[in-house]
Amino acid sequence: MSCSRENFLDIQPLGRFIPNTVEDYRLLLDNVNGQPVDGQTITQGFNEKHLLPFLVTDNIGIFEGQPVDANLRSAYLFAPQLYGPQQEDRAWQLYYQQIFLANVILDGLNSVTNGTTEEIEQLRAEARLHRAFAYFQLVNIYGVHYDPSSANSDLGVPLRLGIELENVDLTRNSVQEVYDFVTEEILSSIEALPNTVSPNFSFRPSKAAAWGLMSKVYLFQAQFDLALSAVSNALNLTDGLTDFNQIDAVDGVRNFPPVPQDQEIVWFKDSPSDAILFELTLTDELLSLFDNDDLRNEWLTLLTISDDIGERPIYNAGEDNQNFSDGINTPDLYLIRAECHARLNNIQQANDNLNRLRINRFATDGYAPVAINNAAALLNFIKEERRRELFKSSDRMFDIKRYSRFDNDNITLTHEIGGDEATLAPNSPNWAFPIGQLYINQNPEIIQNPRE
Amino acid sequence: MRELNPAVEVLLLQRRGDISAVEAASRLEALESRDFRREVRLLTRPQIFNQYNFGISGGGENYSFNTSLLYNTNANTVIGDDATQIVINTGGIFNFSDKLKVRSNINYTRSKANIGFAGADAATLINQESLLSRIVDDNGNRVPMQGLAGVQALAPASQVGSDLALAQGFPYPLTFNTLDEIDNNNNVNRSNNIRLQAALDYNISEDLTATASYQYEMNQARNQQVFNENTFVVRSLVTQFAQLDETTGRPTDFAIPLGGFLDVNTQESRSFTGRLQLNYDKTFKDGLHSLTALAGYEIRRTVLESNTVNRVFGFDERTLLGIPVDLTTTFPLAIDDNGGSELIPNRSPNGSGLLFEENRFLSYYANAAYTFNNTYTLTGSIRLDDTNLFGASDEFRNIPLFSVGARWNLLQDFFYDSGVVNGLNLSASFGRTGNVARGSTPFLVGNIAQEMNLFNNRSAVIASPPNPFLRLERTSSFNLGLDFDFFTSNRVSGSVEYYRNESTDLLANLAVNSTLGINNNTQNVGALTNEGVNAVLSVVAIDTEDFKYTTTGNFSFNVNTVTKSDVNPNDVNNLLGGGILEGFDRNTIFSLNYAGLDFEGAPQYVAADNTITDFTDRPLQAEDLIDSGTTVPRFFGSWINEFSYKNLTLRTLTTFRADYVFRADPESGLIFDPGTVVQSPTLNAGRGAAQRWRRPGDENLTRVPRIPTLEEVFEDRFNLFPFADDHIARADHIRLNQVILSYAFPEKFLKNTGLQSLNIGLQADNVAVWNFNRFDVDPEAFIERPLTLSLQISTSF
Repeated sequence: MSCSRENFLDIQPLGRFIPNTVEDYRLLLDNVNGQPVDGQTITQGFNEKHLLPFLVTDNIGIFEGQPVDANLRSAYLFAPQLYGPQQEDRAWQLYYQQIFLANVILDGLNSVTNGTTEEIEQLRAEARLHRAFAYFQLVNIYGVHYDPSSANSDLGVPLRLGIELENVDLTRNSVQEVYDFVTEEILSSIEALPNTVSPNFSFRPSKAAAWGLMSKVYLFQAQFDLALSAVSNALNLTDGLTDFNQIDAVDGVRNFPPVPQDQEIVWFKDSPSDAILFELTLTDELLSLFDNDDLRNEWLTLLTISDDIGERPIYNAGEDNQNFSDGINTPDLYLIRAECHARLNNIQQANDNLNRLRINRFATDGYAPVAINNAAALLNFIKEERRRELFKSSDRMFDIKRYSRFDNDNITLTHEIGGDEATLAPNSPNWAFPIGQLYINQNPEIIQNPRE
Repeated sequence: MRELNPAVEVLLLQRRGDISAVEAASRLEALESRDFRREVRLLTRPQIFNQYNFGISGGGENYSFNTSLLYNTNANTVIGDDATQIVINTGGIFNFSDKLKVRSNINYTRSKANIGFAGADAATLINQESLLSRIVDDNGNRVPMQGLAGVQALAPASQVGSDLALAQGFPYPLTFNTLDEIDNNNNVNRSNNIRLQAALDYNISEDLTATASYQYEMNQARNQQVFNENTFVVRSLVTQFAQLDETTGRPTDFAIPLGGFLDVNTQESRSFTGRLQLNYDKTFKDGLHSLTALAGYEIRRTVLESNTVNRVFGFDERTLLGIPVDLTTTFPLAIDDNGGSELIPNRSPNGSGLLFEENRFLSYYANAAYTFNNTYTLTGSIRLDDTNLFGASDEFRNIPLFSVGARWNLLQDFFYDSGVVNGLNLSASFGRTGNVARGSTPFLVGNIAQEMNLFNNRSAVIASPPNPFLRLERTSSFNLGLDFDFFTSNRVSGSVEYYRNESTDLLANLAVNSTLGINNNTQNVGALTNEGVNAVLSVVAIDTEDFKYTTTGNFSFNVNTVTKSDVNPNDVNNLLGGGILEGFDRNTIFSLNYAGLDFEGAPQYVAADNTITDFTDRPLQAEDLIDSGTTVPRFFGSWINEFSYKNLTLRTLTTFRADYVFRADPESGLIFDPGTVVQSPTLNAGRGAAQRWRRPGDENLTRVPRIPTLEEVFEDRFNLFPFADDHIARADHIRLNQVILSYAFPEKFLKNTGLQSLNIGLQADNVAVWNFNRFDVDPEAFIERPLTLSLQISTSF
């Protein structure tokens, strides 16, 4: 009786499962955007990125008449709170969901019932990489920029590594602790990852992706020799670039190829910039940095903003093929390598890396290679090149933070909308986004960022 | 050029200088008299149910049968929403011998329902439009509406915008009107339901009988929705997927072909139930001892299968032909501010459209009662329910529940043959049960999906995260009751019962910090006691041959107290969101003591230390909150009156609920929350919008804050305004639920018709509500529930 009772009640529902095989965990790790059949989900997928840091740069502006909601406007004006006390902070929630999902997978992989050690270790490494990526974004959004002299006491974000849901201490770890954790996680995972993944699997982390992320982590700490060796490891594995000479303009726009065919994507993370209310509307300052024969002018299109403002150039080259990749991309890696070389006084290599990228961005027949011999001028040119190439990424906010911290670049942001004006001074504590009041109310051990 | 809110349109015209301020003011004033809620009457009607019932029964010494036919028609509130149903029921009992009896029953139901536009009740239709919208103009012509429902691919256009699109070569007008949609709506549900029941009764001995029964039920349903070319769904989607010539901007090709759409869903549910039961009934020594007992076993399986068939495009209702479309390519949208590209919307994102759900249940149960001398009774029962709770650990299922009780017939001991007291019993019982958290398990559960993303890969999401610390919710209950019957023939009868339940490890869905990875989770949150009294009194006031009047009152009192809470008592969000607090009722509403406006029109509150604050200097703390009452009535009951005169019967049902409150939230439309207006500008502003603070001095006249700036929206003082105690109102009400007038034709009328009986009844539901709140609304339905009328005719042969 007992046996037949067990048989009768022990049925496996269709469409739902209790993960226990490597195949099951593979499915959970391959969750890109997280849209389940019946709308029931707690996760957003591993490949979504944040939005608001786009608005805390000198690349992107909000112009009178553009539709913006209260959250976007608050970020644009560096307000003391970006969300109401009952509102979720989208970026915070998004990354901690990804972290929880990774934690759940890492916990479950301890009791997986099949698979070779290599397979299990690869899945583990992928989960760790996604988690490291999320923490790296969080610490740079919600913390002041890494400063070797104070990182041990600067407020980072809570390191949440378990799956328990009750009585969890959410005290913020220091910036140093978060950077150390991210570094350790990446370095200990690289071995188990495949060298590269084909473009139609670029949502999965690879060795190239891990070295690419590692190089950014070192770069943000101004450890340029380590960053150089990491970025070279990445580029040795994958170095594809799209030659925009080969891409025909449609309606005056040279579009990025579809994501699954884009060889520039090393690790796909999806920028949400197209999904929300605003367009990436370029500032005059950024527009002035483009030469006339730069093909990247054709990444833009004119859009009528309002009666008062008229037409302005917006970024449009991702729209047709829905390519808003903002994870680890080869152009970024070339520019990191150029920057490291320039900072380490390897002038020739820095120029070479710049030209390697730029020849794909200018008409081939008329291309004049960059040859700058002054290290400071070269570094400055590379910083501008990062703005020209990477304005469709929100990383500009992090770049300004690190230039101010390490190079005394003295970049002050001044934003104005609807008569309200706000400035953000270099190295101001206000560069760290405020923590959502909701989370502090729920767990008062989370300390709010100081403001000036 | 979308259809605008008429007030916004006037303001824009004024800003552009097309009309003067005076003209604008007079146009706005003209708009003031509009109220879309009144307009909705064009779309609605009283709900009318008709029910006809025919029955035949008969039989002989060893068999009996009955057959009935039921025919219902329902005309629902929204025009075009109606249903018909035919039910045929036939059953019989066959006595094969003294020991063996077979019972069987077959029931067949066929239903057809025309689903109204947007599925809709009047409330849905109201919420879709601006309060200033109209459906027809003063001349009765249908006018373009905003059609705020988010389902369309395109926002409805104004007349000008629509004409422009037509001139540009687009195939369809792009205006929206609800009456047009109702005219073109074609959404039909058909279902067939069959239920077969068979049972075998066998007398094993004089005291012991066995019953075996089996039931099979199957329901097949099919929903077919045809969207013709005049529906907005078709017009907007075809237009959106028109492919334009680059230079002229005129449509040259259509990714979705011209023509209608066809959506079909099918669903089948099946259930099987088998039961085996033994009954034992024995008295000893001339009734001095009596013992009854039963034990049973039940097995049940339910299956639900459904199939969402992909949409047929270019559908022609006459030829039944459709045109295939490319569902895998993204097409640039013809009318899109962002210049985006999209896939043609697909109805079954998992790729197959199939869903399958199966549940299985096993139950074991036993009851026994022993009575001594018809006076003292002891009872006991035990039951074990087991199911395929997916992912449950063994300690989580197999929860036996039991109860024991005693009953004392006082009549036998004290009032035997008194003539006044006909019955008087005192009873008490005690029991324990356990509750499992359905939908939350100790294990990680995943859901497989075909992702609609750039890679179109297979993946899985977490359906429920692992919750290994979850414990059973346990409840013990104690009851003490007295029932009585005075004078002859139940002239005055009733009962009084007292109960007290204690629950530990209460299960609740709790808001948790998103930093943990999810923002709500089922947890064991505390302990609760719940006690109350139920009383029933029934009096036959008049009992003559022709006239009879019976009145019955039910009265209940219930109060609960949280005796232990594991939730952080200082978590203000949790308390405002309905969280529990030790020493308070589980359903307590916590509010802020509102102190009106400061001289700049911003809200202020009375803090715990009686100072007035706006929470800019310090955050709101739990002590600042006040107890505004509970959302569940402490007192409730009903009053049933039945008058009969000869064959005519009038029955009324009145209910009341008292001592509880409700909070009017911004979505209800009963209050005006300036913060909500800023954050969701498309929502209709609620009552009180006109009374908001506008200039210094207004703070002496009004308690409604000014509209905050975009930054101020995030400040506590504005955010907390919906939680001000001004928005709490008494929910107490009395409701005349039902009035039934029925007439049974006397036998002499039926003599020559062959009918055994003929009854006609007229029933009215939702007749009237008396409320005691200042919003003057039915606290259980902010939009008036429509009066429902039903006609019932039943006969038997």
